[in-house]
Parts: sequence; C-alpha cells; structure tokens
Amino acid sequence: MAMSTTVMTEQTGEASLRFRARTAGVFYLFNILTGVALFVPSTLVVHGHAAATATNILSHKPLVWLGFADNLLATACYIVVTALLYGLFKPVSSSLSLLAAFFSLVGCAVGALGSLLQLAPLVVLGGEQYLSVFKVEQLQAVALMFLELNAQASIPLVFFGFYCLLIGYLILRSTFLPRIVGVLMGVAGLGWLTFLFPPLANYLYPYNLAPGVLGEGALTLWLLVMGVNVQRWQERASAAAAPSPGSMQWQQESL
Amino acid sequence: MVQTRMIDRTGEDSQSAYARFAGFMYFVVLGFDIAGLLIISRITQNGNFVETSHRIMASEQLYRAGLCCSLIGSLSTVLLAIGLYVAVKPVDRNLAMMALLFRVVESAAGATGIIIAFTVLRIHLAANHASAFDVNQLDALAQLGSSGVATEVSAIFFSLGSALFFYVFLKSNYIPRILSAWGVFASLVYMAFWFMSLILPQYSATATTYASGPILIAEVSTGLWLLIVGIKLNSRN
Repeated sequence: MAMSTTVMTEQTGEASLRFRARTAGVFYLFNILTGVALFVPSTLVVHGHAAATATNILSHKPLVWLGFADNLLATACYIVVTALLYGLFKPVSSSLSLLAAFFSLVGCAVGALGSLLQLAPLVVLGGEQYLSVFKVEQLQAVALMFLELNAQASIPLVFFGFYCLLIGYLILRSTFLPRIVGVLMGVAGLGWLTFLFPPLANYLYPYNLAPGVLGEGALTLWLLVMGVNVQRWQERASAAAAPSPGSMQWQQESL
Repeated sequence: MVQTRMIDRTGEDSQSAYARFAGFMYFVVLGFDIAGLLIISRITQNGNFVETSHRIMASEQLYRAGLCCSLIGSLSTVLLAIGLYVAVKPVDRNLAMMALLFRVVESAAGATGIIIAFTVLRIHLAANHASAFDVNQLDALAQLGSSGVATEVSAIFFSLGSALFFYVFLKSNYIPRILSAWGVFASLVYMAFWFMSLILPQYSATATTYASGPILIAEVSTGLWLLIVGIKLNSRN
C-alpha cells in the first residue's frame, strides 16, 4: 500500500514537472511571438520628418495601441517564464537561479515602464485643449522624439542579457537539459549585452538580434517538445534537498 | 556524521565566498556609480543650457559612456544584493529577502532614471540643430527631465535595503558590531535626507552632500572588511 502511494506520488511529481517545463515553453513562445510586434511602433517613424511621422501615428492609432498592449503581454509572459525557470533551475543552484530571476524581473519592470513611451505620442498628438499652447510642429517633434526614444530604449535587453547568460550557465551545469542549448543561451546573452553600449548595438543591428532569437528559440522548442529529463532533475533536487548548513547551525543553537 | 560535517563545511565555504563577492561588488557598484557621476558632471559643469549642450555635443561618446557606467552600476547592484542575501540568509531568511527585494527595486528605479537621462541627452543634442523648439523651450524640457525623481526614489529603496542588510549583519555578529551599527545608522540618515529632498527640493544639494559621507564610509569599510577578512561564521556559537 505504502509502495503504491510512493509510486503514485513519484508519477504525479513527474507529470507536474513535465507540465511546468512545457508551460514555460508555451509562455516563452508567446513571449517571442508577441515580442516581434514590439518593433511595430518604430515602423511608423520617418527619421527626421516629424510631420510625416505624426501623420503615420494618427492614421495608425490601433497599431500604436496594439504595440503597447503587446509589450505588456510580452512582459507578463516573461514574468511567468522567469518564475517557472527559477523553480526548474533551483536544484542546480538556488542562488544563481534567484540572481537570474531578479535580473529578468528588473528587465521586465523597466520594460513595462518604458512602454509608456509608445503611448506618449498619442497623448501629445491627441488634440486636447490644454495642448493648444504649443505649436503643431512642436507637438509633432515631441511625438517623434518619444517614438525614437522607444526604439532606442534597450536598457531592459541588457538585464535580459545577464539573465540569458546565467540560464545558459545553469543549463550547462544542470544535466537535465542539453548542453548545446546552454551554449546557445550564453551566446544569446552576449547578443543582448551589445545593447550595453548603444553605438555598438546600432552598428551590429540587426545581426545582434540573431543570437537571442536562436538561443531563446532553441530553449523554447526544447521545453515544448522534449521537456526536461525528469529522472536527472529529481536526482539534482534530492541532492539539493539535503539540510542546508545554515539551518543546521541554527538548529544546533536552539538545542 | 562525517558526511553531514562535510555538507556543513561546503555550505559555510559557499556563504563565505558570497560574502567576499559582496565585498568586491560594493567597490564595483561604487566605482561605476562614481565614475558615471564624475564623467557626466565634468562634461556638463556649471553654465547655461546652450553652453552645456555644446559641451555635450562635443563629447557625446564620452557622455554616453558615463551613462553606461551608471547603467553598469545599476546592473551590479543586483549582483551585490544577491551576494549579501546568500551571506546573511541563514540568520533571518525573511529580513534578508526583504532587503534583497528593496535593492532590486532600487536597481529597476535606477535603470528607469537612466532612460530619462538618455531623453535629456537627446534634448541637449537637439539644441545644436535647428528644431521646432527655441532654446528656452528645450532648456525647460531638459530641466523637466533632469528633475525626475527616479534618483530620489532609487536612493530611498537603496537605503531601506541597506539598513535591513546591516541590521541582519548586526544580529549575526558576522562582522564587527560597530560596522553593522554604523551601517544601519548611515542608511537611515541617508533615507531621511532623501525624503527631506523630496519634501524640500531647495535643500536637495545640501542633503546629498551631508548624507553621502556616512553611507560612503559604511559601504567602503564594510566592503573592505568583507573582501579582506570575510565573515566570522562561528561567532554565534
């Protein structure tokens, strides 16, 4: 009886782990798909021509709203991915997994705030009464500036670069995911890190996006199709579940 | 029994290693933050908007490098916070996690401030070309951006996180009590001054000058101690 209960618990644990890995894959895929639309607002920009850009914005208002909503959706998906991958890699190294999660969360927070830059042109060109103190060309210039800033607001990508590097390292150490995916994630991280210095990122653009798409795409596909090697994950989890030295120290004190 | 001792030893080594790493990261964060401030203030100096814009235009790459230094400082804060968290987690997991969260929000607020700083840079660059705005209007826009409270908000989250980490160090005796007590005091003073600069912005410069001294001493001395001496793990027994 006790034996069958143990077997059932193990099976439930395996199913739960596979489900979590695939869920991470699904949300990662949503993130990549919605992330593509992040570049939509920049297609409205006519460089150096504020009036033409303003006309584009006003004639494609739903597109601007879509870009804004899409950014928030992509951020929400990445938060889910971050939480699930944190749990997945915790047995490998709880500290590094936590560090990776915090890098990602800071990137998400800054990215969500930055998405306001996408909406700002609609407010500026909205024609409200209080804006009539500005000349039309001034409002158009400000709207163009917001969109150009949005196109260059790449600071969250730097945080995601460190996230990908750490996840790549954790995969390499994990044994329950293929090492090649870890290497690709590491390269993806390096690609995102080029945004640390915008002139370099602009020089390498769009080739510096390729490692990110390749690395994160590979991890997404692997999680979706193959999941994780449950037996090896459980071995790592059992090893990590041994009482931590700190807690033993405090238990001795209380005794 | 032997195995238990070995696990205990390995865990202590890891805790000590993270503490030393945190000591090192104190200097990385301070170094990049101060370098960023020095580069930007050296370029902007004192002067009117037009002079400042010309200087920024002449040293645009250096100015951008200064902003990147501040961004690296923000990124390094997450590494420092994780190092401190792992070092003090066995003492009080909840307080350590709370401190870590405050420091992570500090990093997010700091990065948002850098986005604003890049906006101000574009306004200064625009002042060197013909634009839809006259110079006075661009000056007003730049001041609007510069007076963003991201720095103040970031500093308040920093001081709360810092006070909590120093408090957990105080409970643990991992480092000399004088260092951790001074850290708690300096963090609270820093927080009080930044709140004051939000309420009385005219005293903002004075607040920064007076409040930075104690916290700088606390961070440099604790950073040095963690890096050179490390933490005394058997101090509680």
